[in-house]
Amino acid sequence: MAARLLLAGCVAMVLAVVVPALGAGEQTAAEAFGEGAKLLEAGDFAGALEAYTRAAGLEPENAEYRQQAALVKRVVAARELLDEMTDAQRWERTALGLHYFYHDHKVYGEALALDRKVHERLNSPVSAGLLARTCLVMDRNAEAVEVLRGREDTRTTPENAVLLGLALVREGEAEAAKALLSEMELPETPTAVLLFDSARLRAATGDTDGALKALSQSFEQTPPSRLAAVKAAAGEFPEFAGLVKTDAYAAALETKSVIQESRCSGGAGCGKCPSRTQCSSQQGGEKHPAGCAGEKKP
Amino acid sequence: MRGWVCSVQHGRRVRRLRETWAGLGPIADRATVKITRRLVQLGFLTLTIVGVYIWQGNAERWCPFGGVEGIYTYVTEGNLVCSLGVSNFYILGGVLLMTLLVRRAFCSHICPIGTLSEWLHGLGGRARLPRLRVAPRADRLLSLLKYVVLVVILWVTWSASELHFRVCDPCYALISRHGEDITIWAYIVAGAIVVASLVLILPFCRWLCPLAAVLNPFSRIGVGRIQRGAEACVDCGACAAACPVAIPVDRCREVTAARCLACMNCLTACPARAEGALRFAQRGAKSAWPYGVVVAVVLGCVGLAVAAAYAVPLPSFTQEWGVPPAHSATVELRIRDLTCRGRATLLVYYLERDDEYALAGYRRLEAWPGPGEALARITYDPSVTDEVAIKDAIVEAYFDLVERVWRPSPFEIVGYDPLGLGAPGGP
Repeated sequence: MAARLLLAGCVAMVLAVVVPALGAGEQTAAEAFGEGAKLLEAGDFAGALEAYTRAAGLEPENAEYRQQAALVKRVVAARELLDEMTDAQRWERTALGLHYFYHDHKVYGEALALDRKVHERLNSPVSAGLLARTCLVMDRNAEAVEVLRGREDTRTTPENAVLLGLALVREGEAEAAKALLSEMELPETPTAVLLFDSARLRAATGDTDGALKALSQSFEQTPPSRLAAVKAAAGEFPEFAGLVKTDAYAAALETKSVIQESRCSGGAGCGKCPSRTQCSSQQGGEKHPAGCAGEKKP
Repeated sequence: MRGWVCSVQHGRRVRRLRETWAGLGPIADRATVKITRRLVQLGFLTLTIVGVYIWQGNAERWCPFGGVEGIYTYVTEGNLVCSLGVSNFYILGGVLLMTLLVRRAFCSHICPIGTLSEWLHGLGGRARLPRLRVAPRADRLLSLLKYVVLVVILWVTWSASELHFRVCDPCYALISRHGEDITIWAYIVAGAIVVASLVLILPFCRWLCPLAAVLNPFSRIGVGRIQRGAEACVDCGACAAACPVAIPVDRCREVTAARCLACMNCLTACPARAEGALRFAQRGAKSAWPYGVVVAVVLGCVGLAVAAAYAVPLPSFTQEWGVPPAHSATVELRIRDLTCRGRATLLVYYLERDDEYALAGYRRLEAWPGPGEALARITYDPSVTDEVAIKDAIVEAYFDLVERVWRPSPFEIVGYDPLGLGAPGGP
């Protein structure tokens, strides 16, 4: 009896050691996907693509994995082709796409190099804004000031004026930033990004009420599908550091989006889609409305 | 001896068959007709349940009323609302033909709501629940409601190109396996129909069914009719009492009322039918139609519609760009996630993209959106584009310049594996 118990114990011990060891060699799809994200953040695009493709292969029914692998593949190809592109419009579009991809995936080093190249080539308010934004994210505030301050069009471009203000505050020129803010005129229908940046600037210059008001307005103009991520990210901006624990900030976080967006999941979802009437050309919408048929549409 | 037994058994079988056929004949045998109709009803109900819950099929595509709802958008825009298909038109055509021949036999033989409602009423009778009778005048007024329901549904659906009433449609709640847009109202309506059916005969079918409103004008001019031979009639009133839709059969020479369901309850209830007091026949014809003809017409029309839907599968979504070239090429793709009209419009958006994957020249998209793998046929100008370019345009991520975001394509083409994943997308 004792011998049998001893034998069973030995077998159990062997299994306890061998089974996890066997399993350790196999990577799950989620692990591969996570590895892809890490490699991407480190700027290893080829490695990230390989990891994402592995995740998609391990779990083929997972649309998110497949779509991310396809997206990274597209970006890898775009990176390789960018310097060879001769069509200016196509080059600009590709560069813009890469900039937003880098920012979405926090590959700021790559974004900085690209944005400098783009600004050198285009020298436009848009390219200046892109570069300044990347500089601000990387705390390269002096460079952001340098890029925007000397430009005549900065004052007439509210997006860039706000970015300059933010950089000036960080560089210790709060009064100059306030002056810039007082001169600035927001367009009639400001975008969610502009409202958010102006909230940051107001917070940085001490206008707490104005900051929270602009922040709430920004949340209102953010599509519902992105609102939770934007709210979560807001707390990480240094300009809001002094506000995040206040009740007023918590109240601002309660703001709901006023943007109508499809929740279409295919088929049965049309009944609830707020954009459904615009699907039909007879309703005046010749094209599918933005945001319809899910969040991922061109 | 053994051969003699076999011969006797064979003779009995033949006799039974002859008796059954005779029961389905002009002088209908009550039990045979009742059992046959119940079997037909059970067959269609089982087919619906198996199709929806076991085969996981899209039963919405086989609803004749879907054809009524979808026709306006299809004619004006070339595509269908939501996840309806051209099969809805075929089945509607089959049901209309059936109605022209044998009145509203669809309601008494095929419609699952009609079947359940009728059976529930029978159940209510067995449970000795009260049988409520509605006064003829009130019945006439209530039966006008279905026209109001029809007009409201069509007005809203046609003007918005959207099946707004799905959210409270009890039939859709069942056939969609509780689709995600279903609200509690669908079950409230379903519950109300169930409760009402226990004490009232066919309340939904008589007063509220919008399809009945569509069928009625066709039924009015229907070929097959219940005819009463006044000379042979014994004026017992059994026919009128048996009619589920309260037609005063005993007081008319010919049943012209559009609401006649061709259920044959009146005919089988008639004690003098053998003498010609009641018969189902073509107007002016000498000989009566056997009940078997009604069943054959019902099954034939449905079979014809289904066969046509498979033989001539017209696309439920079409879109065209540019002028057709002298020589064109066509590629047929099986696409995953091309589930509905919204998704087909999204596919159009990818085919209209303006980045490096933009397609040049003439294109024509014909799609059959549906669950699982849906077919899309794309006709293009081979001198300016090719199959791979079309596939890439569909599956490659798109950078949205307006929103400044990347839009990964939700579509997956079966057999096209740009990521080199292997297995599932393979041919």
